[in-house]
Amino acid sequence: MAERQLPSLWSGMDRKALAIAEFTLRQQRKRLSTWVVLLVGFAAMAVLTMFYIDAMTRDYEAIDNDGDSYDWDNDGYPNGQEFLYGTDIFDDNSHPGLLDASILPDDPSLWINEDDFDWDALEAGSVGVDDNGDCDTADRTPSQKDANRNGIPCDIVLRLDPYGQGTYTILSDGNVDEDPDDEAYALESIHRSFVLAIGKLGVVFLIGIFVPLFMATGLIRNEMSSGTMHFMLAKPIARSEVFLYRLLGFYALAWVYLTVLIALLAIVAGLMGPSDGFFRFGDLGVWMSVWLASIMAITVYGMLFCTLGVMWKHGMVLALPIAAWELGMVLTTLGAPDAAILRFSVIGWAMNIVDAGAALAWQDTPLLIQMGLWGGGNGPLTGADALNVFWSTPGLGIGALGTIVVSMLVLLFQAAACWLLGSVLFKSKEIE
Amino acid sequence: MFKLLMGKLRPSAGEVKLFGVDPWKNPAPYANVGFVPEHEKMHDWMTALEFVSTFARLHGMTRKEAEVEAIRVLDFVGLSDVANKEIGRFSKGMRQRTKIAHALVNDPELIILDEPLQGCDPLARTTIMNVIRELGKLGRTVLVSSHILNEIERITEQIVILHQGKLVALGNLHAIRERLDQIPHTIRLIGDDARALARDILGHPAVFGVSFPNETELLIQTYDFGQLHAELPRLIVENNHKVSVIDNPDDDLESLLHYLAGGNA
Repeated sequence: MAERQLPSLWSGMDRKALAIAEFTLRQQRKRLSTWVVLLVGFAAMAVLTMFYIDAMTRDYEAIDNDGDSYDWDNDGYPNGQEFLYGTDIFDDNSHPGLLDASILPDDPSLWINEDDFDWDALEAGSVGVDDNGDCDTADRTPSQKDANRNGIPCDIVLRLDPYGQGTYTILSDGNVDEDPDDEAYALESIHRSFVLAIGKLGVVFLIGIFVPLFMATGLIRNEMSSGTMHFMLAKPIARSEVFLYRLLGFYALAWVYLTVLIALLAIVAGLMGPSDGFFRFGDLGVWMSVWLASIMAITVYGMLFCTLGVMWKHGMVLALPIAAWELGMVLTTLGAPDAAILRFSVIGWAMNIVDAGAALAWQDTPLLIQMGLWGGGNGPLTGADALNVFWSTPGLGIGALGTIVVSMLVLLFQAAACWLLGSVLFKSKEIE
Repeated sequence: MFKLLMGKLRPSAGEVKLFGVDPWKNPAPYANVGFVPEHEKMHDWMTALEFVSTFARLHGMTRKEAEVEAIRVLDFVGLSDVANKEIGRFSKGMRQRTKIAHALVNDPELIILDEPLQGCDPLARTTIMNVIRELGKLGRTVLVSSHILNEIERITEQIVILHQGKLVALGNLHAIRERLDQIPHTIRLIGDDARALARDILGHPAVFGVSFPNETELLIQTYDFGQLHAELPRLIVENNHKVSVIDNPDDDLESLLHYLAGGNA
């Protein structure tokens, strides 16, 4: 035999790591169950995406909130047009055409959604423009025109609620922004709701927990019970290394799967979502945070479930209560993202990452929610409630970037702790 | 015993040292050991070459080195022509040889084989025993466990007999065998005519007694179990007897060991 170059500690370690990870990856690839789990996950996400595509291609009824498109006196001039010129909406002998023969009646559809939101400021203050001129009319008193008493007639006052995280109080002078564009609002808010819902509940939670539940729980245990672990353990390699490298093989598959899945979702939602161009590049920040959160979640769950598998031969039974706990926690993040109990979960920290990413990419979402809930005094508009449910302000109260960094560190720590526990348990197991 | 040595089990009392190191705590000595576990389950989805080279890489070899070594050891155990076939399609003997190849890949000083002959057909046994003898000739230390004494005899002369954790015999096989020869063995035959069968078999020098529990059953007492067993088929065929069952009612390991244990006490 030719004299071999003896490996150094580090090169020896990564050769072993690569060998076991590669072995694990190939082993998973040869198993039917792997493909079933991955395909079911993919199919579930595809079904949810179908609902989204349906929502994006549907026509939303444009609601005439202020009745400006109606013509109550049948003189051919819509009420809104008559308001504008101060003629009587109930008298067919009083209309703008009589004031000046050159004024022709408008198409009634012009008077639907004619007073849309024009709020581009996130800071609290004065927003809103009375686009259809029904606020600043001669027959209204100054106190009617400035009902919110900020000294500016025909505007809306936004006040940032000091207690309700990122929510606003809306104080409107009457007849301002009272007939918003329902379809534009619905498309935007449903789109954002979908990205958040499928990102948080679908990819990070469901995929993040079920793929490792079926694929990582048996990584060590199956080899222990079938006896094939003997081959690996008869080699000069520590059991904690075997534990880690087996998981690396699982991660290689899981991480690639998540990346492909999220990329597909991002492409579909980017093309289908409402935008000025052909693609919503602005969402990529949110998808990045979904990617990061799901990778971290699957990493921690993989370690955790593999450890449970080592602990007991029916590790799945131990994993199910944990999955139920995490489900409870994920629902908690939707309603109370700052609840202290979330610190004792994996998913709470992963959700923080998505929430923080969304807060960075879509800074105007809290405003969009309030806008839709108010809806010109006729809310909530379609999509506002959904967005309100799936949007959460990152719960740590330390800013978006800080939240991402801290959550990543906590999740890494959780993964390391599970590895340590799993290694110790594995080392103490006698293998028949 | 081998599982203790390989750090699979923790000693309940006393201590185990492999090259001076406790294998339960430190896997380092396995760099010089090749271990063939008794378990039949293998990674059936891999080819023999993949199996051997994957585990070779756990000795810190590069992919290339591992492949070269794997080809070398598969050739040594005589599997080079099926190296690229899946283990799942192998016979028991081929699987056993693949396991031996995987244990040899690091060129170990000590080779431990746990029941390597279990469940193998005679041809496979011969091949495996040849491999083991080859290893001995190469100057390697080979530890083989088996409960089939006859086969051990063909491999080595130095044996250790353990019974329920106690050492009952240690040393040269012939010396131990002499003691064993003092226990009579019984062979049971069931055929169409037990008495006619007995007439032809009594002439054999190793037979010292026969008895007939009933018309079709024949019990033969012998001191040279191995020789008689080898010649029995010929005796039966030459004399045109029909025999449906041949077995050894008292040849279980337990009684043998009890005898040895009693003899040493």
